[in-house]
Amino acid sequence: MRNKPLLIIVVGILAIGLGIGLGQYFMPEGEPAKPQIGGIFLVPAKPVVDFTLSQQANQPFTLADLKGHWSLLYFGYTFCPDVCPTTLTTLNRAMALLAKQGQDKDVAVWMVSVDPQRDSLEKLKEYTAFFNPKFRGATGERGEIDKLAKEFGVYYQIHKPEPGSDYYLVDHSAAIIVINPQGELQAVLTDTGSADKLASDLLSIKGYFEKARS
Amino acid sequence: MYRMLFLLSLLAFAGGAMAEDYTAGDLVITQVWARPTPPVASAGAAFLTLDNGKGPDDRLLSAQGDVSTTVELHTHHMENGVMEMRKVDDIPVPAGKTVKLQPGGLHVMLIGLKAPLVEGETFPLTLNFEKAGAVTVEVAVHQPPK
Repeated sequence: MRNKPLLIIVVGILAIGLGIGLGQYFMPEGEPAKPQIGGIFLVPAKPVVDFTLSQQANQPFTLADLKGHWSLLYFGYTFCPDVCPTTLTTLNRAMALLAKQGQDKDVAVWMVSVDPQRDSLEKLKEYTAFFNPKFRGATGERGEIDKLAKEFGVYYQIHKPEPGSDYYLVDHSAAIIVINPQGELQAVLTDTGSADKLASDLLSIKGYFEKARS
Repeated sequence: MYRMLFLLSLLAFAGGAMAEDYTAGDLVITQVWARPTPPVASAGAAFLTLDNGKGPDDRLLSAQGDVSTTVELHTHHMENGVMEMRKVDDIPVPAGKTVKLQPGGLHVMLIGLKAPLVEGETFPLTLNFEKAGAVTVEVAVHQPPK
């Protein structure tokens, strides 16, 4: 009984050894290190439920539009005076940084309006194009917006207008949703204040994806 | 002499590129700017810095301007990753403190813009302080500093 602590240590070391061995056995070879980003990186990426919203020219916007390239989704509204313009400006600057490295061509940027009552598709088109002609806008029926928002963990709340006013505010998640070329949720970027950080996070995410597939 | 003139012209050039500073009583108001807005946007925001290095506690009570149908004082705060914007009754400017109205925080909210805010242009905005009184500033429209 005197050697009980020693026995525990020996069994412990054996167990750890076995764990590492099994881990190496089951882990696919060359699994790249998870990128350190300003937000949440999902391994494995989460499949996204299909949805039907609308985009400019009254075309449908569905899961198919998120496949074959990277997509960055931002949920906002055009009456948003500060956070949405700030984020879209930062996204535009981040895209310019990606362009310098030839990494922008396969990245689409979408603003999904959670305020279809005030945001027509035409309005959204002009709004997003102001920040970058390639940025697109989408919105649709409340149920479909909610479905997508829930899918990405995006929260929003539309407030009632103040008495005597028809103007109302909307609280919303400021995160940028990153969808990989397979149309899966790959990351949620919450550190969206700097174009440099955003661009380097996107490069890390893309790099991981390429490595993991090769 | 020529060198002096050259330096002076440089100074004048630098001065022209900078936003103007204003004083109201003991308050110094600097970095008065607003972001350009998309033609379809009906809301905008103005930002400024209030330096109360010398005076007593003061408060920004309201702002007025013809740029939009309504001008309100607002703040933001991030609650679990959700950006919440709220109207505030006033913005305290305590003695010895500098208060910044800047993106993601306090701002003058311009609701119902009569025309888009265009880069390179300016518009007047009157700030009403509890002690320092009213002062009209020119808001410079430009992209946010990087």
